[in-house]
Amino acid sequence: MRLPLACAALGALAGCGGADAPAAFEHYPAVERAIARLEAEVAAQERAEPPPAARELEREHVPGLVRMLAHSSGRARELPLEEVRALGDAATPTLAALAAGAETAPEERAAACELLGEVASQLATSHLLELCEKAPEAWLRAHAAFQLGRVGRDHVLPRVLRRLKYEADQEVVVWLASAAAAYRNYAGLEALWMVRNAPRTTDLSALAEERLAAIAQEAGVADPDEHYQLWFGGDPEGRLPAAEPSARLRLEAWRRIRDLRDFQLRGVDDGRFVLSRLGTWIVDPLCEALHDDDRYVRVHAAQCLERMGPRALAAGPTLLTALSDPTLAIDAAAALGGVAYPGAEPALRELLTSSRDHELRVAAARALGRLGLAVSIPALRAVVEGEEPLDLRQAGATSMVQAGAGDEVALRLLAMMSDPAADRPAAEAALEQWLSGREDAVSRAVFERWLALAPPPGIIPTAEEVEQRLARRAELLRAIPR
Amino acid sequence: MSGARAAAGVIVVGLGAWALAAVFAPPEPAAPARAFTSSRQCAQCHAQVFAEWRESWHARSWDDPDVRALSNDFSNTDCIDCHAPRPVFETGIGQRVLPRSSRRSEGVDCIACHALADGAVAGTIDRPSAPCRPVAMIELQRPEFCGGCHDQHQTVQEWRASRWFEQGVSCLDCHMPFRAGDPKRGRDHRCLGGHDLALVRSAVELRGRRAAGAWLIEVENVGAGHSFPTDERSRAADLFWRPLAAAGADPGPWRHFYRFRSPYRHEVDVVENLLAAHETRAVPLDDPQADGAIEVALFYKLTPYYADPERPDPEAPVNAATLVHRLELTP
Repeated sequence: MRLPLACAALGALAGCGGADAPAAFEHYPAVERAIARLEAEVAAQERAEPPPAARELEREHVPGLVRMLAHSSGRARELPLEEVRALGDAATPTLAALAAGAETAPEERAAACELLGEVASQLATSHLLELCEKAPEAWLRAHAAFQLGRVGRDHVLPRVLRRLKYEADQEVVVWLASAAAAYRNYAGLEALWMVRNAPRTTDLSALAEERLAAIAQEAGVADPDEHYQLWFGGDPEGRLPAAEPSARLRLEAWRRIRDLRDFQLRGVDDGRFVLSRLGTWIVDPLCEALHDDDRYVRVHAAQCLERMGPRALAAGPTLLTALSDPTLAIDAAAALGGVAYPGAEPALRELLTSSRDHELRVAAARALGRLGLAVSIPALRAVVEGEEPLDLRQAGATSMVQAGAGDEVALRLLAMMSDPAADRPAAEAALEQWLSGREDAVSRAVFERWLALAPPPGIIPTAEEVEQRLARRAELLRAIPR
Repeated sequence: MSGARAAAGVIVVGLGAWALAAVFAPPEPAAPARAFTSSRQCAQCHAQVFAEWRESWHARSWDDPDVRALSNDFSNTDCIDCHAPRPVFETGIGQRVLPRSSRRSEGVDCIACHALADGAVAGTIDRPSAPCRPVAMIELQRPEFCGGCHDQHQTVQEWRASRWFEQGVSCLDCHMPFRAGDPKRGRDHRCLGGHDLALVRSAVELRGRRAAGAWLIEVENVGAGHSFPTDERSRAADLFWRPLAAAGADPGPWRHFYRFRSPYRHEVDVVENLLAAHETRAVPLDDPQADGAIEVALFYKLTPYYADPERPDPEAPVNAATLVHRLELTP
């Protein structure tokens, strides 16, 4: 009885410290609660839509449909398609076996894949996902990816996006990106542009271009370039069609959030990749995950928001309050920079100038650079010119470049580029950014020569070659008049 | 006799005074807490350790050109977790590491392994008056300490499943041995591993014998406390053969016939077949041309690729393959 009283008294005393003291950033089992809620929701939906009763089929019935589809064209194709729709999951196991069976003729495997897409049930979708992820034949993965865009089940998105991370075949990439777009997820546009600009064959370039145009048109945007900018820029005016994620997709997303606890980085990396590429609807779950009991979930949720960039701008206020959580402040600061939330500038500046946590100060300095606001320049300048540790001065100098004050720090960065104690590659990158923004003729000429010193694509330079490049680039910069 | 008694009395009194002083003397004053912002601060007192670490691949984990290229200059931020980790004592022994913001260019540095949350450092002795206020922490010697990064590819699990675990031989015994074998001289902080040819050579043996009219090549993991290769998916070990040429004659190109490898995540067509600790892998050399006297070689690769995958040449500098063992076999 005495302990609660004492706690209450202490709480009251703490409250006397000032009415403006920020409330503690609460931790609770956010993941468990969300998953339990969504599992119940999905189960209720499934109870409301029971699958059709199983039918007894003759052994050759489904293979016959597959052969019919494989060897017919035009309206003749309609018959097997209609029949398999009527059969539903009664046909699925046989279709899946035929699609995966290496001994089946390729055109029949493709037809079986198409029929799985026509069935479009939960089970058929699972088989398509398996094919898309594991089939050794790239053409079959491409077929499966195409069908995944047709099944009308948005919960395929996490696995489609994950496959997009690992897929090496460009044609499969095209159809994975298209499948994601069918659910109003345009994360695959980046990969489509890469295929269009650096195709293995000219046909692939044309296919990618055609898909980019079609996807943009379906999204109501005339220009594929603009479509790309809208998606990755966060679509501040809400021009893109909003995705309404199903309960099953939200459940899948929360399961990915739960996986962020894993010890093995393999799953964590995949989770970060997928979560940061889902639509802006994922911002709310990620903000909720910032409160989870598990530190890894909190930290990685912040990282996912950071990686979403301006698409996660809505997380700004929550991230701002997360700065008060000592277990999360560093990652919250980084995320505030990543999402480019201007409202965080005063808080980040305060951390930079007043925090006693070196790690947090560096994170704040970097975040201010990503905000790129001129108002931060005096605080950054004070850090750069002060008696601060080298890494903090370098973070400050880099951020000054990003905030448009690169001329002030170029010489310092040049010195850092040859200082073995500095982050030399980062200094080189900051100088490249600074140089790319200069308009005078000498700088333009220097920049061209600077770029010419970059290693050819796909070639990893030796340590000696890196040294030579840094030295030659430093020499180039010294030619710029000041 | 009385002189001896007097001497003994002096000794007893002296010892007593020493004991009293030890018990009642004020404790060694603690050094003021100091913020460590760079491992270079450690070099002021620990020059030898710092110099060894500077030589190590831990120190190069941020700026090595291979890492820079493969991580796309760390724009793949997933790589930062292990290549510039927060202090292990902060994230927890045996827990997965988390990425840090500061001093990234120092990679896996002194602070990452030794910094304690209260500003002191973990070491092998307690000395609160020293500037870094070392505290003896046995955790530094435990495999779980390395596991936050190095168990990401199951290396600690591989070790735990081996006889080395039962025998009490652990990571530090091979990768951070005592300098000159003398515990008083402390441990070597170069943390030698797959980049050290002598250590790689000591890990495996290569043998060959005739079996059923063909060559059977055996590779035995005799010295690695884990699989061979391990940890990095980029690592590979390849077996090649070629006819044994007469002295001065051109032996012709090496011919590839077996690979030890753990696949990257995107490689759906590569089967994991690392050589477990103590395992002997017998690989038949099926090539009908390998009938007479032959040379067999085991090459180690830090990156798995060859410039020409159809005709891999382990001796071409571009392929950066290291010869581990070579055999001459005659029927």
